[in-house]
Amino acid sequence: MSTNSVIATQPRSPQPSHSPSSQQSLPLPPQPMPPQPLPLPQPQPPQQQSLPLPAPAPLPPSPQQQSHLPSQQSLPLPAPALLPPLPQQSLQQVHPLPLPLPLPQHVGQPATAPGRAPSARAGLVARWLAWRWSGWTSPLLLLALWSAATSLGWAPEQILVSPLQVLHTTWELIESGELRQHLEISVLRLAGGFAIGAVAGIGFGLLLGLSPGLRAYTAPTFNVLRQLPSVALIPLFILLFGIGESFKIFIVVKATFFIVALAVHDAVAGLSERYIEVARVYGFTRWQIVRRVVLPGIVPATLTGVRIALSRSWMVLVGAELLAADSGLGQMMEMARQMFRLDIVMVGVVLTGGIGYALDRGLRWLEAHLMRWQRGDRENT
Amino acid sequence: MKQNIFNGAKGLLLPLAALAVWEWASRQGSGAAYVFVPVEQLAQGVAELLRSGELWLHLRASLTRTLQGLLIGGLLGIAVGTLMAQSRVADRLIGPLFHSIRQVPLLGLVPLLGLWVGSGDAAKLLVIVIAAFYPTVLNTSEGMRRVDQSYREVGLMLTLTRGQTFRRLLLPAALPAIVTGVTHAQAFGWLACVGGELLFAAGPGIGSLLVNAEQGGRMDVVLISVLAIALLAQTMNFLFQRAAGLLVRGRSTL
Amino acid sequence: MFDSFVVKRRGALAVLALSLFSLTGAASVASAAPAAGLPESVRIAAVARNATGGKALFAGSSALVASQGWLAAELGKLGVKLEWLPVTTNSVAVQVNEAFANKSIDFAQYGDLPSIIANASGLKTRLVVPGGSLNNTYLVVPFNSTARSINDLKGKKIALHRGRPWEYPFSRLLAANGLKSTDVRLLNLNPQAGAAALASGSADAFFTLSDAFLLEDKKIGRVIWASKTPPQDWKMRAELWGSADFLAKYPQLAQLVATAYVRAHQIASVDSGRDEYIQAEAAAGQPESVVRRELDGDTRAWKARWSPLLTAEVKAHYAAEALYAKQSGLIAKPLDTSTLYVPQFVEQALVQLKLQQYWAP
Repeated sequence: MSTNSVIATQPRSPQPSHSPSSQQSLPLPPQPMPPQPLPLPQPQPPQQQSLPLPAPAPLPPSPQQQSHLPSQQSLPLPAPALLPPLPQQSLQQVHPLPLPLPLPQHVGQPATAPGRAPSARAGLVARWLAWRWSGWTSPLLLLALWSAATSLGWAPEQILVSPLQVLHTTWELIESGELRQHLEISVLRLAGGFAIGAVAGIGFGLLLGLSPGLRAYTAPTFNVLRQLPSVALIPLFILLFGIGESFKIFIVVKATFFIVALAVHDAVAGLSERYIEVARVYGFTRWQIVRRVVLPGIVPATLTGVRIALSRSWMVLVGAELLAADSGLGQMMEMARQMFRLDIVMVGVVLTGGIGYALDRGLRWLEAHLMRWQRGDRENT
Repeated sequence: MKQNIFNGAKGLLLPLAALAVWEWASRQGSGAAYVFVPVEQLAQGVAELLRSGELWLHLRASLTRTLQGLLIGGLLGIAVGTLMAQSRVADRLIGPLFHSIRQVPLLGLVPLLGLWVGSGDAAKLLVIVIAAFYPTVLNTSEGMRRVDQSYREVGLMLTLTRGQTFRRLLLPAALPAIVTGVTHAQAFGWLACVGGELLFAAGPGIGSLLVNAEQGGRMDVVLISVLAIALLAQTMNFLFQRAAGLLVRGRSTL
Repeated sequence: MFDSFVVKRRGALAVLALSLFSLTGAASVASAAPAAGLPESVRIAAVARNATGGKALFAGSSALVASQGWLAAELGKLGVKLEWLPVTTNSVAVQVNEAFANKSIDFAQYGDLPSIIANASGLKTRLVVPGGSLNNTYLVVPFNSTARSINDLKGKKIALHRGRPWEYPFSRLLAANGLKSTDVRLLNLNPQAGAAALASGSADAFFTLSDAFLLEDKKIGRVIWASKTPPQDWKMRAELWGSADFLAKYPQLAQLVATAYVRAHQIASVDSGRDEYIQAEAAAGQPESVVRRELDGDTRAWKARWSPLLTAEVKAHYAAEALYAKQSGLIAKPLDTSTLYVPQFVEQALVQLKLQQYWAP
């Protein structure tokens, strides 16, 4: 356990009598120092890092090198207390320097808003924060504002439609079967392109990570193509493949492939060298190393990459459908614009957001589920 | 040294081979030449665009727009991210709203933005600002939250004022995360710039050049625009990585 | 501590943060209060092609009005600026209707069907100056296709941008051949996408304006039908529309605009004006040969094209088109087109320019 707390760097000799704190309730020495109670943040394990960020140039990175990838985990929604509450028996029980004053109350807690106990207002805020459903406050407030704006007529009907109207239109579209049709087509396109791109991406990423030769030949091209925004390819693909299904699927494949390949490559590169060494000691063949060590080890990072690729390719697909399609959610929104039906546009916006959210959540659940047994292993290492 | 050059040469092999295949394909008939524009024609197209100053005009418009959007969105993102990290109330209020709006694909917001903000430069800038905003907020709030507890304890021990704590301790400690957020924002912002220009096609911009070339059936200009977009993406990313390296030199990774 | 700083002001900070989010919506939605006197500028939206140099070059009568400079001068005398808003051909209807809705333009030269759609949805715009650059429409098939007429395209895929003015001539073409819109499969694609669909074979036909000739030149398509010979009321119209609010509030400025356009029409309608018009169009980005082919063989007399008179023919056209829009589901509620006309501006302009007899039948 890392012990980089300032307090903990004190010599571990039992010196109880200097502490002015009267809250010291531990028995006198020769009791060993109590363990550091502060769960200090661990250095970021690679599986929580997400994409897309190019690995520091140039390739190939050494196996020890961690990609400096930030975490893009979104906060749970609605959010309960986000950080684990620290144990209350914090620094008071530790033998600190002989400080002139007792440490302030909130030092042991994350630097967020403490309540100033005596104020009633602060008590109200604290109660609200502790309330399970407090995460819904601002969305509901926004909804209320929106309804007020439309009913008070702050903006003409063509600019802002009321939430009720949106619901009404959604129901109309569901009844006429149009919504289901567009939804099906869009989701099918996404699924098809995504499946191809993900499989190809995993395969290529593995090869790229495992073979320095391949890296040397393809890395620059890969990097350039990866950074090319997929939307820029839409007009090109339209000219090449026409307006059929193929160009949309290819766009999705392009977006997915590069993100997933990068994630897998980074994961392979970030895999601890020790695993491979142990495997070699056991005499694994190369194929066995890949199957028994590399593949399971890259699952978390791959899932993160897959999740990010999914949301990115959903966005690109909607963009492609907005530009040139004869069916699909994007096309529904564009047609609604042409018919000047803002309510249908809003339905489309809400629905595309909802699908994006559902996909994201679904993959996060999968990640957590798969990582459950992984984490068990990892903690024992 | 020689190894490096050799490696670099290996990397060039694939593009050169692709170019050779392209040239061969462009000689396979007029239909193929429409798609696989001969390299000379591409070069002529580039010369023409450079001569008329059109390419530079569009690139400059796109670049300024992207940088402006990155600046505004980045600063806003850092501010909001800090707020969310420092105040549980702000986090509980802003967080859910932010995360739900973030789920809507940015290009899917374009029809709404077109109606509310028009189809001009303001709308394109707004798309980039939003694109830069999202990753910056996420990374800044995450980075601030993860600032090591011991740093804050140091601040308390040294009895720093709140301003000093923020300026001298928290901000530098969260800087790697913020910088990563900004690098993400740059990549996403460039994508938003191109996408926005494709969808709001009026006015100068590399995306408008692309769309107009497609309308005119000028495949060579389309290809040149795509290449320009790719090269700019690469260059900007490289520059931002370098700047990031300078800023966070010697710091531990997040 | 900083934390307590935030805590003490958390109310204000929360409001600030929330308002940042609603900034986009609220800021642009709130329209500026009108000035007591005259507005800062008169804004006219017109179709523009992004010609070389990145500058938008306008097409049609708006180009003539802009180049003649008379309107800018007259407005300048009153201290009002004249602003032109370019809209790209791929989505004129959407851009103009949205601009009218969020009050960023006062006038627009655009098509008849989008105006009907806008008015049916509650926006109030009025037809100020009829006539002008009235376009022909064409039915294009792939170069190697064996289709010779619309009847050969029964059950096939036709690329047509919905809600654009040329949808109406297309419906008349179908009706004239005894077909219904359900007899063909319509692909709702904007003109570029439609051209690409035709080129790649994803569409069996493409219905559009004179960009059809570009496809012919590239040997990608063949025109099998043109609207030059059929009855006049089939054809689409693209005319000057104005926001009803603006017309009511600043009639004198509206009158200036109307007079400028009538003047431009008159200058263009003389025989020599035809060549000048072709030159202007060619400079705006359309190849000259395309412009010539568009104008040749048209049964409508050159002078009559430019007539700004609100004739019974015009009114019948709009009434029929509104009916079509309702029937085809483009608008939800029927529209009474008699509310769309404000002929007084043109009449006044004719008096001012002494052209009362010029276009008399």
